Amino acid sequence: MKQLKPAWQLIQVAGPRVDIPQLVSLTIGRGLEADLILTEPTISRRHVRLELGPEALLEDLGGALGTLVNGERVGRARLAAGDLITIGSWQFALADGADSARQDEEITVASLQTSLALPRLELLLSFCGRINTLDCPHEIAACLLETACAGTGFRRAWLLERSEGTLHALASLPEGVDTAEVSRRLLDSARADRVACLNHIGQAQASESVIANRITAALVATIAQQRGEMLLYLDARHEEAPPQPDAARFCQALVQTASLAFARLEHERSLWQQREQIYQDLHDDLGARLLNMIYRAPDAALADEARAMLVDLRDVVSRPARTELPLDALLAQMRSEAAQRAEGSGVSFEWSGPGANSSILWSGRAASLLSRCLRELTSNALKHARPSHIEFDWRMTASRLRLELKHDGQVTHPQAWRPGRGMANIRKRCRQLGGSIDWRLDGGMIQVSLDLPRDPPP
Amino acid sequence: MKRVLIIEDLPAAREWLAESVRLAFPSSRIDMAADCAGAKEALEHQWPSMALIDLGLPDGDGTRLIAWIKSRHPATLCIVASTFADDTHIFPALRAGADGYFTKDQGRSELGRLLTEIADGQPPLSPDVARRLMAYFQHEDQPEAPLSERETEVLRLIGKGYSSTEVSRLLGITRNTAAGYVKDIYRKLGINSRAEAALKAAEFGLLR
Repeated sequence: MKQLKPAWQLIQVAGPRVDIPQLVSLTIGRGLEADLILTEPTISRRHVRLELGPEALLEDLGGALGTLVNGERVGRARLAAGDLITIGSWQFALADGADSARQDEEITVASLQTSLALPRLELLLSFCGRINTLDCPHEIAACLLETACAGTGFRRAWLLERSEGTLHALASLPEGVDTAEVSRRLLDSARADRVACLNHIGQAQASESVIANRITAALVATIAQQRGEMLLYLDARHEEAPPQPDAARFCQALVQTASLAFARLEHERSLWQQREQIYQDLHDDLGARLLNMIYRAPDAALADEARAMLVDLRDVVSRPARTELPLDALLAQMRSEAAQRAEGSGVSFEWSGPGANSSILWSGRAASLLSRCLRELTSNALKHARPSHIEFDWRMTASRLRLELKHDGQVTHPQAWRPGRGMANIRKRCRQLGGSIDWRLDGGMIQVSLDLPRDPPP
Repeated sequence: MKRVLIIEDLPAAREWLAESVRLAFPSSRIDMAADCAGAKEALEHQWPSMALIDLGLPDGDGTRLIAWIKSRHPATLCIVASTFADDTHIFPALRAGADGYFTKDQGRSELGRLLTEIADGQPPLSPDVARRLMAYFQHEDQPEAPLSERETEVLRLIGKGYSSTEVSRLLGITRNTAAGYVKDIYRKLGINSRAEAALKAAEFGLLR
């Protein structure tokens, strides 16, 4: 009978060294009939079955101990490259066939330690990638514990916080084990001299110390936080996890990476707080004063001016410079504001949009510059010319965004305009956007041409 | 409107709002509070038919106050009196059940008109908030109260910056009908967020 070569490769990560037969269909168990025999009393005679055809499938055959894939107990599972399978004291990583030839070579030339380190490196890399996409401390903690267990063979893990002499659990794996239980275990381990405080051991000696001291039951690695200290504590009752020469270093790497992710969250949170604080201050202080000015204004023109300042302030406050805004949303805001103002002044209004879509993003700063330009242009038109009609004609090309603004009314030649219409300000804002602006009088109409890059500098 | 409660910490704004309410509803009785504590005290005596609520109150968040009022007395119209009306602060208030919002910088007669319109079920809607509403209804898997085709169309146009007058002209309906759609959208937002909140509570084991 022809035996097909499996499309996947099992690599041993933990447990007493065994030879893994190259079979497409592989039964693992304690019994002699198993293809891969793992002799440990808690493992069933026929414990788990693997199909390593085009798809890699796992079926737990129903022992009391169960089979873990990436730390979770499964009945049936489809596997993927990089998955870690835990059966009792043994752990295997799955690699796809294409990679296995190269890994085979490395295993034969390198020491046993390398073969253990390789899957952990993969774990560490995927951990780094994953935690940077998480934005909640709880998720980072869960990911840390999961990876720590998967990479070391320990079954229970806690992330603890130590502040003012007391410990409390931030997260645990499996979930829901309380702090008192952890403290008891930690104390037991410490009494038995089996806790490795990695921050007290020099990096170079870390691995040796852990082995020399026979620290197989507990590992502690620490994360220094602004508020206190976090501890990663792994527990292996009954020595179910055999000593691994690089487990301590692996945990240290995990913890250091996690501490960066926690620091990132902390930083983001404080930035957000700062922004909210600035918002609050501007809102409570300047906003309130401008409102007072509007309420006490002796005439409509002064009220309108204070109102325009308030809207400008809102633009600055509600549009943080780093937040991006789709151009179509910005145009909608400007359209709505201009339409309302024209309607309020009894001026007929026309707006033909450039057909922008949501994929063109403007920075908050650029958006604020353009909307303030447009607000000022509209103010000038409504205030000085008292027009009966105003129209905004937008055009967009692959690189430019252009506006032709036209209105009638009591118009004079732009060259004769006295300062005070904010023209210098408008020009400056256009320049900051990398564009230009031009006013002219044409057949009794004022025409403003605005020429901007479609994607202005942020 | 029989009774109107104004909850606003800025004295000048409180006065301005009161004058606008008098213009809109000349026979109404107006009570005023400067903070959440004062508001709750006033609410203990009698539920108002309308409450104008500032979001940044000195002793708490106006959004929570809206949720508090709406959970006890849904018939009270809760209207946000905002300085900036930015969508990041307005949207949570709408989800808490607010029936409308306005910016406090407007003239008394404009404000008066706005209040009458909101009381008649014609709440205003900015393009930003319309866009957020659209995204909210599109991204929710199975909204308890999904939007109708007409409501979606109204939201889309407002999200593009069209005024309610323009929307009604474009869709060939009256301003009243267009405003009615907006009111229904508000209502559905309330229903969906309550369902969502219940779901979250169940997930966290808060409900048995």
